[in-house]
Formats: sequence, C-alpha cells, structure tokens
Amino acid sequence: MEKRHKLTAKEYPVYIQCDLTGRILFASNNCICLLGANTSELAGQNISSFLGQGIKKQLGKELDAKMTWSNPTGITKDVNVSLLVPSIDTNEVEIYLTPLYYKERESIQLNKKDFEGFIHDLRSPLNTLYQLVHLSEFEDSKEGLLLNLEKIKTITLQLSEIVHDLEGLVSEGSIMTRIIIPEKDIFPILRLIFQSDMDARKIELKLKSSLKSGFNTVYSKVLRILINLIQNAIHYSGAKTVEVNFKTDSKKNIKIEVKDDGKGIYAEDFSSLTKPYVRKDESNQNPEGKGLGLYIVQRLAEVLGGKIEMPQVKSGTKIVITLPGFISQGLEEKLDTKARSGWKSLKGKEIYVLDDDNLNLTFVSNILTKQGIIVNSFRTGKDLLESLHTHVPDLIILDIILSDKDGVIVASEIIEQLGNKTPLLLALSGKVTSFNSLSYKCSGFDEVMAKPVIPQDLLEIINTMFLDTGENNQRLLNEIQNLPAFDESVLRKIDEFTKEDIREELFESFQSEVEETMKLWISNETYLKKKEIFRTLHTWKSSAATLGFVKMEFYSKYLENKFLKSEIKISDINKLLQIISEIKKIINIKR
Amino acid sequence: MSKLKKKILLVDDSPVIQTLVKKIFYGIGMEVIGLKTGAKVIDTINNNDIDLVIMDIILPDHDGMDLIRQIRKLKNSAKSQLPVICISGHYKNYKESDFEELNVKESLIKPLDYDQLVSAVKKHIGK
Repeated sequence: MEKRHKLTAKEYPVYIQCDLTGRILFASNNCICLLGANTSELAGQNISSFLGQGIKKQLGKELDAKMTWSNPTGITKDVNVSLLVPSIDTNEVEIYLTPLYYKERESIQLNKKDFEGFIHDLRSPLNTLYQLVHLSEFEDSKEGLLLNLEKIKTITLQLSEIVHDLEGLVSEGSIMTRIIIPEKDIFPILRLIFQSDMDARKIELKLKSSLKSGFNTVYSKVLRILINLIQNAIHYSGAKTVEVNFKTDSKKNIKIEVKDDGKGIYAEDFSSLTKPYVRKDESNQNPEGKGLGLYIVQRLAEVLGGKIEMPQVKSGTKIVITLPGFISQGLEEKLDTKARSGWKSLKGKEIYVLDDDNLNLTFVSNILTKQGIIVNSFRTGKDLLESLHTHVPDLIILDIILSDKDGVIVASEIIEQLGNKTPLLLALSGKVTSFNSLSYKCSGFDEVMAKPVIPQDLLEIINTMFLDTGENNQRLLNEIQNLPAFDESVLRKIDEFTKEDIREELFESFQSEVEETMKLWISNETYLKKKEIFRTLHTWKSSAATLGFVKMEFYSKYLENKFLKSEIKISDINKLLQIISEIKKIINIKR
Repeated sequence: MSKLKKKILLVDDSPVIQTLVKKIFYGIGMEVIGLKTGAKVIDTINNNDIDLVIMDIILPDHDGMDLIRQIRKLKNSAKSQLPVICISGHYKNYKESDFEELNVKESLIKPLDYDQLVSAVKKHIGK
C-alpha cells in the first residue's frame, strides 16, 4: 500500500478509481492537470488512454508511463489508483494500485459463476498448452519448435497471471485489517488533495477533531469517504466552506461530520443519491461526475459497519458518518496515557519468536527489529525450550500450529519450566474466535493475535502487553464469569448415548472428585506435591470438559496455569467451588 | 465360543469418566470394569476375561505407559496382546513412536469424544 504521508511539494497524487479493465469510475479533480482531462471526461474512459497526457501538457515532453490492465479471471475488481509524479524534473511516473472494494465483494462471497470464470480462464490456456506440447512432439523443423516454445512461454505467463490474480483474491482480504490511526494523519493528505480546489475556487477546508486518541479503522476507506464527501460539497453544492469534524458519541462510536455552506440536499433526494449513478438533477448545470460519490460513501460506511445520515440543517448540507465500536475496551485508556506518548518502551526489549514457517519468522522478526527490539528466532519448540534454560527474554511469540509440537503445549512446557519467571506469551493463530482465544489465554498466553500478522497490530498488542500484565488476569476472570455454566448440547449427547438422564449422577461424581482432592489439599497442602496438585486441576478440567461444564473447564484451565506460575491461593479454589454450586443449582432447576 | 458380553477394563481416576464410560458401554451391551488407580491393573487382567483396555496415561500412582508395558510382558499371549486405547488430556511427554512400540491401537484426547471412543472400541473388539 502506498504511503502518502511523506509526499513532498513536488509530488502530485491523484485519486482515480477504476475497475480492472481500466475503466475509470471516479477521478479526483486534480486529474485535470495530470491526466489532461477533467473528471467528467475521464469517467467511463480507459485510464491507459489518458495516462501521461496531462503531464505531457504540463512538462511539454513525453513521459515514459505505461500502464497495462489485465483481468483474466473475469471478476471485476475495483482498484484505487494513485498516480505519483515524484519530481517534475524526472520522467518517472509511479503507479500504485490499492484494492479498494475487495472486502465487500468477499463478504458477498464468490458465487458459482465466479468459479466457472476461473475454471474457464484456466482451462482454455491449459488446453492450448497441452495441444502445443502434443504438436511439438511431431514437429520436425527447428523453426516450428521454436515458435511453439514461444507460444508456450506466452501461455505460461498468462497462466501465472491468473494465479497471481487468484492469489490476490486470497491475500487482499487481509488488507481490510483495521489499524489504529490518528485522524490527524488524514488531514494533511486531504489538504494536499484539495489544495488546487482551495486555491482556484477560494474554498476553505476546516479540519477539526475532538478525539482523544486514534481510532481503529481501515485507513484507505475512511480517506475515501472523506474525499467523496468533500468533493460532493465542492462540486455539487457550490460550497465555499467545508468543515470536517471527528467526534465520539456516548457509545464510543466515531462520528465524522462533513458540513458545508452550499445549496444543500433535500432529504428526499438524499436516499436516491445513495444509489449508484443517480445525480440530484440531470439538467444540473454542473456536469461533472457520474453520481457515484454518495453511493460509494454509503457502501464504504456499510463495509466498515457504520451508517450514513443527513440530519436537517438550516443551510448547507451536513452528512454524518457513524462508525461503530472502533476502540477495543481498555485499549482506549492505554492509548491515551502511555502508548500515545510514543511506544518507546519496546526499544531494547528482548523477544523470542517461534514459527516453523521461515517467511513468517523473517517477517515478524523484521517488524520487531525495526523497533529496536532484540529478536531471537526459533524454528522448533525444542530449540526454544532448550535456549530458555540459559536465558529468558521479555516476551515469547509462539505460532499455534507447529510441525513438531502444538504451540499450546510449548507454552505449557515453558510455564512448567519457568514457573513464575515465565515471560509474556503471545499466541499467533490462523483462526481466532472469542472461544479459542479465551482458551489460549487460560492456557497461559497473555494475548492472542490472528494471522496474517499486520505490523501495526503486532506492535500495538505487544505494547499493550507490556503495559498491563496485572490487569489481564482480572479481565480474563470476568470473561470466564460470563461464560455459560454448561453446554446443554454436550449433556444431550450423553443422554443420547446412555439412553437415560444421568446428569445428576455425573454431577455427583464430579462433585465428589473435586471434594476429595479439596479435603486433601486444605488439610495439608504440603502433602500433595506440586505435580499432583497440577494433575488434580488437570483432571477437573478434563472432567468438566467431558461434561460440557464450560465455565468450570475454563476456570480450572486458568487455575492450572496460575498454579504453575505459583500464584494460586485458597480463595481461587473457593471460587471454583462457587462455580460448582452454581452448576448444581442449575441442574436442580432443570430437573 | 465367544462370550455373550465383551468386557472392557477402564483405568481412569476420574469418577466422571468412570460413570460416563460405564453408562455408555452398558448402553451398547458391553461390561466395564473400572479401576481408579494402576495398582490392580495386572491382577484384574489376569483374573478376568478382558477384551480391551482403556487406559488413562496420567494416573495418581502410575504412569499409564508403564502399565501398558507390563501388560505386553504378560506370559499369557492373549492377555499380553490385548488391544489398548489410551485416553489423556495431553500426550506431550510421548511421541507417536512410543505408542506404536507398545502396540497402542488408538490414543484419544480428553475431553472425550463419545462417538470416537465407541467407534474405536467397536473397531477393535467388534460388537
């Protein structure tokens, strides 16, 4: 993804949105100078026919800028194009493609037709390839063979392009991952984009924010929303002042208000404007645009889980975009107090990374090393455990699925080996659900992160981990407390097998199991060796799991891990008994 | 002539597993002898016509794997070759080759999947 933060005065970004055939759906106003055409001329045209023309006009010389579009899979994929002219003195034009609309297409899901498209696109070159190879076997002349080889080469390239495209479909979904951004980072970019409008039309762009911290969102989409809204205000309502304001509401939603002093939109027009290719007035004197602006804003807000509204105002237009649940609980305060003042704490920290995938290992290590962190990489759990005999780092990042051992087992072994000297543990897992994340945390991980790893997310999580070790436990306990007492489906399954209701009997045997060990423990704690207490907790855990006593299972797991870190108290056990009596009550009610 | 009821020896210290496994296998017409510790495992096998052993690897007094090793050393060849199914919360101290060496037919992880347990038992001793 391109970085637009570090643009110098000599660089000119334009924002063009087109599909993969190169058909322009949307172009920002400063395309006029760069592409030699205004937005209405550009819309619906192919970008390649305009590329470089504007620069040619500006510079009076030809630019070596070529752009080819391919769409072998037949799936229309909108892309966002930025045309960067690094310097007027050079004749290089850089083009960055940023997939813009990927996620909503993915959430709609690929349908049968899409797959038929893939198959068709793959099959025809493969057939030709097969025929060419077959023909070559009977080809006598060298020229003929060379010709065939040339064709084979072309088809192979064509196939690899299809594969590349398919790869894109798989990986681009991850681009949607939210990152914490300070809204103030967006402001300079907006100013840059609308600079020409501000100068030429004498428009004032006011950018304000009352947010206390950055918010967690998809950067490119929020930027796109703002560009479209500001563009609408300037071009359709003839506004002279456009005001953008970032706020939060009582529910911690982010509200982005875009206000202008233009001629305004009627409420009844608003709903139709949020449909594609509808303009307020076809006979409008202002011919620019295809009427996609508000539609795109609405779709983007939907993709981000938010909504678009147009509250009535006395004059001009006010559009409010509400983006929900953007800051995870607890994180906001952290960001406010420490993290926002700079994540200096990471420098000099020591982190071990365990991953059997070399690419991942390098990737994660690089992210960390750049922050001044001392990183040690390990390919196997065995190597890692061995190294811990001599030295313990500040944090260990473990991949959950490893070829030699399960990451959870490696974690439990680390805890067993190091006890209360166990460093922070971060799990990297391909799939993170609230349930397995809780399970990992109860097994001793301090945090869980989903793969693929996004650098900002990783650093943010690590920072938070270093900030709040003590509070994690309390949060975890609360989460466990909110679990259901038991999973009814497990008990039903038991009934099915035994053909009778034995939950009471099972519960009694469970209770006696716990009570027996409890007595032993309370009477003489030293009587039981550490390993045996651990075993007891382990048995409770698996018995609870067998019976579907979810809360109990997780609590035992939590205690097991806490015990290994030598932190367990008798009050913890009493809490366990409370949970048991809770289950008992429910079972009695059910009976 | 085969017996009417197949007999399973269950070695697991958890009363829950004991109750549950007994009920489940009674339901499909099998008999279960339950032991909560490892002390009497060999005696029980010697004195009964056991068809299959379900063994928890982690027992309060014994290591389940040691007990299986002892079973394999029994003089009576039918008894020494008894099919064994291991159950455990985790197998972190053992490798697959350890189980192969002791001819352990299956190793199931707790929490028990009842379908898996029943089908594993049926696979090795029939109905």
